[in-house]
Amino acid sequence: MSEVNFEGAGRPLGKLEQELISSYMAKGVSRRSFLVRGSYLGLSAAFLGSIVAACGDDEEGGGDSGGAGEVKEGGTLRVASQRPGSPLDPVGMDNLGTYTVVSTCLEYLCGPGEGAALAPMLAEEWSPNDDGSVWTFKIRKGVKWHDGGELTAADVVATLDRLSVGNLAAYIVEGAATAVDDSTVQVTLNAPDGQFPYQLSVYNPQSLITPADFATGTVLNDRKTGTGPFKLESYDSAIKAVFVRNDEYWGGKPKLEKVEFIFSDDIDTQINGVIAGEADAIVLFAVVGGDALLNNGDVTVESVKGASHRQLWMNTREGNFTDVRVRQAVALGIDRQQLLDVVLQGRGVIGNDHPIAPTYEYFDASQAQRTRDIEKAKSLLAEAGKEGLAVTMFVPDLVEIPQLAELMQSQLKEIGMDVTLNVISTDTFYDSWCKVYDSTNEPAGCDGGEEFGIVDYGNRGTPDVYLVKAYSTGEWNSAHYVSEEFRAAVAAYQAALTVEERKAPIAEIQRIANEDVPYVIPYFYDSLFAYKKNVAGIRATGLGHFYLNSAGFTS
Amino acid sequence: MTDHPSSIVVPGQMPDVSERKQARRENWRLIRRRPAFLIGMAILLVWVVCALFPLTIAPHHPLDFRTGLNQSPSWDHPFGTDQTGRDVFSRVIAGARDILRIAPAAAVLGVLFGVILGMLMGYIRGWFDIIASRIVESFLALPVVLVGLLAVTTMGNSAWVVIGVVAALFTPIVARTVRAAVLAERELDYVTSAKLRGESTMFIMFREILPNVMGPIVVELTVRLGYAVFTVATLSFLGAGPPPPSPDWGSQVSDNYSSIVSGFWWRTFFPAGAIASLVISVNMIADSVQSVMEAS
Amino acid sequence: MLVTLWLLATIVFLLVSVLPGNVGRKVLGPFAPEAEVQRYNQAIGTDRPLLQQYFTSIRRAFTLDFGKSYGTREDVRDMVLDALGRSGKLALLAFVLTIPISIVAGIIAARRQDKITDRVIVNAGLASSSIPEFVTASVLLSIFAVQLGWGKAFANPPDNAGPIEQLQYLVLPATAMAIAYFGYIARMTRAGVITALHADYTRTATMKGLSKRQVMVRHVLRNALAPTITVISVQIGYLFGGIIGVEKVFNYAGLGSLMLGAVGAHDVPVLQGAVMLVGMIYMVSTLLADLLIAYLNPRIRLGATK
Repeated sequence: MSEVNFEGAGRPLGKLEQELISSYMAKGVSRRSFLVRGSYLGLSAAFLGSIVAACGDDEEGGGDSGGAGEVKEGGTLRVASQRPGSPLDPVGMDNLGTYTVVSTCLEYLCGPGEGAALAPMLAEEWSPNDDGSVWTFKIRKGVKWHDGGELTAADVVATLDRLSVGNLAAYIVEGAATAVDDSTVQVTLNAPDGQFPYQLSVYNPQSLITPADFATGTVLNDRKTGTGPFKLESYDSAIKAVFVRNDEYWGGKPKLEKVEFIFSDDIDTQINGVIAGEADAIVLFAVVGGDALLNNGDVTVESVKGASHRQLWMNTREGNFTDVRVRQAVALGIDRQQLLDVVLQGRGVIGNDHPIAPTYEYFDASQAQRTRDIEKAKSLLAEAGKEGLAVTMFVPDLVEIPQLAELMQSQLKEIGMDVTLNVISTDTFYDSWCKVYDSTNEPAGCDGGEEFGIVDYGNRGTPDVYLVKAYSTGEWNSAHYVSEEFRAAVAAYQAALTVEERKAPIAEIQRIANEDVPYVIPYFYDSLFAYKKNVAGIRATGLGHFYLNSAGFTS
Repeated sequence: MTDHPSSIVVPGQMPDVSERKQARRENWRLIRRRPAFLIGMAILLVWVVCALFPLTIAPHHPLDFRTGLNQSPSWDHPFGTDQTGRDVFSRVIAGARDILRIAPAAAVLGVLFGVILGMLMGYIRGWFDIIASRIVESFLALPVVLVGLLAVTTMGNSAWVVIGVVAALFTPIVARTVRAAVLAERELDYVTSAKLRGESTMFIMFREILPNVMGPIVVELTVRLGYAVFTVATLSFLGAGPPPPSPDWGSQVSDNYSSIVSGFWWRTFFPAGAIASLVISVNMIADSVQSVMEAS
Repeated sequence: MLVTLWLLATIVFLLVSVLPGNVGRKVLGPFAPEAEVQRYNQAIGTDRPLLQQYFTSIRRAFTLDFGKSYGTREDVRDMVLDALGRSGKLALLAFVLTIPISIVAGIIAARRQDKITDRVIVNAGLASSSIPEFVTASVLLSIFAVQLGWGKAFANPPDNAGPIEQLQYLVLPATAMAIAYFGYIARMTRAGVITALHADYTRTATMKGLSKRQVMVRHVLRNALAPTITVISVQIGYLFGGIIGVEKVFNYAGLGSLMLGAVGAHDVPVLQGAVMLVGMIYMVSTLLADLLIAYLNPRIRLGATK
C-alpha cells in the first residue's frame, strides 16, 4: 500500500500534495475529502483515482448530478433565469443573472468540484510552491476561442493583469502573472495563500478567462467569444439570450443544439413558465414561493449544498446581550430542526452557531451539536437576571427570513423571551443593521446599527469572509464581537497552507464561536434548481452558473 | 370605476340654508333607497369592523403558523392555510387594516387639498388660476401607479410615502372638478350680495360657496376612495406595500399567485376576492351617490 | 404642451433627485466605500449643484435623452421606446378586443335602461373594472396557460413570429386588460347614450320621421361617444398602472416589466424615462381625443369641453 506510483501525477509533487497523499494513506482524511482536496491542489482525477485504488478504497463512483436516462443528441433547452442586471462585461458584472449568461460561454481556470472543492476547467492542474506564495497553473491545450484562435498562457496572463487592477488587487499586482511557456502560467502573490485557486474559480465569478485583446469593459454581446460549450448567438436584456452549440468544445461536443435563457425579474413567473411547459429548467429558486416546483411530479428539484446561512446577531458590547449566558439561552431556546423543516422543508443542514459549513473539507465534525434545551435556557436567563427579556428583532424582508423570524419568535416565547419583530424592506434594513464601519474606531463593531436581528450570508468557497468581516473587523460585525483568542485562531487558519494545518485552528474557531455565540447560526441552506423530468445532466453551483455541456433531453 | 366628466356643476339660484338642508335630506333619502348603496355599505361595514377588531374576529392569530401547511379550506380554516401554515381567513381579516388605513387617508387628504386648491383657483382666478391650472394639467399626466413606484423606490417603503403620493396625485383631479363647480357658483347672486355685504374672501369661499359645491365634492370623495383602494392594492401587489409578515391583501396575492398552479388556489383566491369586494363595495356606494347627486 | 412637459420634468426631477438625498449611497448600498459612492455620484452628476442638475434633467426631457441605465448601461431611450412598443401592442390588442363588445353592451344597456339586461351589464361592468388587472391576469394564467395549455405563460413572442403566432402569445394578457377596460367603456357609453337619447336633437330627429336606426347612428352615437373617448384618453395613466401587473404576471417585456425591474434595481434613469414617456403619451392622447371629439361633434369647439 505504501508502494504508490507518484509518477502518475505527471509532475513533481510539492510539499502540500505529498502531505495530503501521506495523510490519506495514513487514514488521516476520508476518501471523499481526499479526492476533493486533491482536486483543488490540481491533481488530476486519474492520478487521485490510482491512489484511491491502490489503497483499496474505491467503492462508489463520482456523484454527478443529473438523474438517470440516456441523454439524446439535439434539442433546445429553455431555461428560466433571472434578468441580467448589469452589462455582459465579465469583469464589471455584479449579479447572478449576468453570471448565468456570461459563464455559459466564458470559463474559469478552476471549475466547481464536489462540496466546496475545485475541479479542473481551463487549467488542467495547479500547484503551489512550498510556502504558497507562487502558484503554477497548467493551461489546457487545444482549447479554441469561439471567434478564432487558441487559448494560450498569454490570454490568462492578460486576464490576470486586468483583474489585478480591481477584483484581485488584494492578491496580485499587475505583472504578477507570467507565461512560463505557451501552456504554463506562474502567479506570484502579494502574500502566501494556500487557497488562492479559489480566486480564479466559480467562487470569484468575475475571474473568467478572456482573450488577451479583450479590453476591460468590453461586453460579450459586442464581441461574442469564449471557450465554453455554447456560443452566444443573440442577446436582448429585456427578453432572452440564445446560445448555439460549440462543436469544438474541449470537453466534448455538447448534446444540446441550442440553449435559451429566458429572462424574468420575477421568480413566480419563472416557476409558472416551467410548470406551463414553456421552460425546461430554472436556474435558481427558493423553498419560499417555490412550492409549485417542490410539489410537482413532472419536475426534478436538486439541492446544491453550500455555506450560505442566516445569522442571528446579538450585540455583545452593549444592551441586553452582553452577558454570554443570555446569548447561550437564545441559542438553546431555538429548535433548529423545526426551523429547517418548517421554513425550508428540510432543504439544508442545521448549524452549530459557527460559520464553518460541513462542505468545507477542514470542517470539524467531532464538535457536539447544540440542541434545544428549554429548561437550561430558562435557568441561564434567570442567572443573568434577564427573565422575561423583551427585545425587538430586526428582520429584512428577504426570502424565508421573515418566516424564520416568526418561528424563532414563538420558539423563544417558550423560554420566556418576548420578541417583537420589526420586518423591514431590504433597502431600509441594509441601511441600518450595521452602519458603515469606521476602521479607526476599534474595538470592532458597526458604528451604530441594531442590537438583535437576522442577516444573510451567501455561499463562499472559503469561510474567510465570514470569519473576518462578521467575527473580526467591524465591517459587518453587527455583534460587536471582540475576542483576541478567536482572532488568533483566524490568523492561524489563514496562515495555514494545507488542509491538515487548517484543521486545528478551524476546530478552535468552531469551539469559540459556539461558546461565545455572538451569532446564532440556525442552518446552512441549500440552493435549489429544477428541471423537467425529461432533462438530465445539468450542473449548477447555486452561484448563478448553470453548466449544460453534458445536459440534454432523455426523451 | 367611472371617472365622471368634470363638468358636474350644480346649477343654483340663491339657495337658502333650509332649502339646502332639505335638498340634502332628500338626496340622502334617495341614496338610501338604492339597493346598490345598501349592499355596498354592508360590505364596507364588514371590512371596517374587521379592520377595527381583527384579533377579536379572527379565529387564529394572523402570524401564527403552526397549524399545518397548505391545508385546503375546512371548518377549522374556512379559507385554508398558507405555505407556513398561517390561517388565510385570519390573515384576510387582519389584512383589512392596512388597506383601510392607507386608502381612505390618501383619498381624504387628496380631496381636502383638492378642494382647497380648486376653490382658490376658481374663486381667485387670474394669474394664480392660470399657473395652477398648468401645474394641475401636468400632474394629470403622471400615471399614479408608476409615480407611486418611483416614489417608493427613491423615498422608501412607508405607509406615509404611499399616502402622500396617492393624495398628491388625486389633488389636481379633485381641484379641477371643484374649480369648475366654483366657476359656475361665483357668478351667482348670492356671491355678489355677500361681496356687497363686505364679507371676507375666506368667508365667501368657505361659508357661502363651499356648501353649494358639496355635491361634486362628495361624489369626488367616494370615487377617489374607490381609486385609492385599487391603487394601494396594485402598489402592494407590485411590491410597494407594507413589508411582510404584514397580512396585506396585495402582498398576499403577489406572494401566492404562483401557487395557484400547484392547486393551492385558496391562498390567492381569498385575498384577491377581498380586494375585489372592497373595491366593488366602494364603487357601488360611489355610483349611487353620483347618480342621485347628478339627478338632483 | 411645452409648458406641461416642462412641469412634468420638474415634478419627476423633484421626485428622483431632491427628495431621496444621496443617490449614490441609495444605489450602491450601505456597504459600498464612501469613495466609491462619491465616484458614482460624480459619474451620474448628482454631486453637481442642484440648479445645474435641474437644467440637465430638463434638457434631457426635451431631447428624450435620459442617459444610460444604471444596471445594463444600455441607452434608456432605446430601452423605454422598445418596451413602450411592446406595451402599446398589448394595449392595442386589448382595445381591439374590448371596444366593440363594450360599446355594444353600453348601447344595449342604455336602450333597456333599468331593465334586467341593463342591470346585468351595469353590474358586470362595475365588477370587471373593480377587479385589479393583476388578479384577472393570475387567474387567466393559471387556468388557461397552465392547466389547459391554451395560450402562453411567457407572453414574449419569438422574434420571427407572424401576426397569428404573436396573437397566440398576447391573447391572454390582452384579455386580462380587456376585461378591466370593459367596465369603464361600457358604463361611459351607456351614460352617454342615455343623455343623448333624452336630448332635444334626438327628439327633433325622431319627430322628423327618421328611422330609429338613423337616429341612433347619426345623432345619438355621434354625441354619446364623446365622453367615452374622453374617458379612454384620461384613463391612459391608469391603464399603464394596470399593465404593470399584467406584464409582471406574463413576463412580458413591456414598459411595466421594465419599470418593475428598475424599481428593484434602483435604476432611477429608467424610471424617470418611463414616467416621462407615459406622461407625454397622456398629453398626446388627450390632445388627440379633443380633436376626435371635435371631428365627431363639430358643435363642440376645442376648449369648450373644459
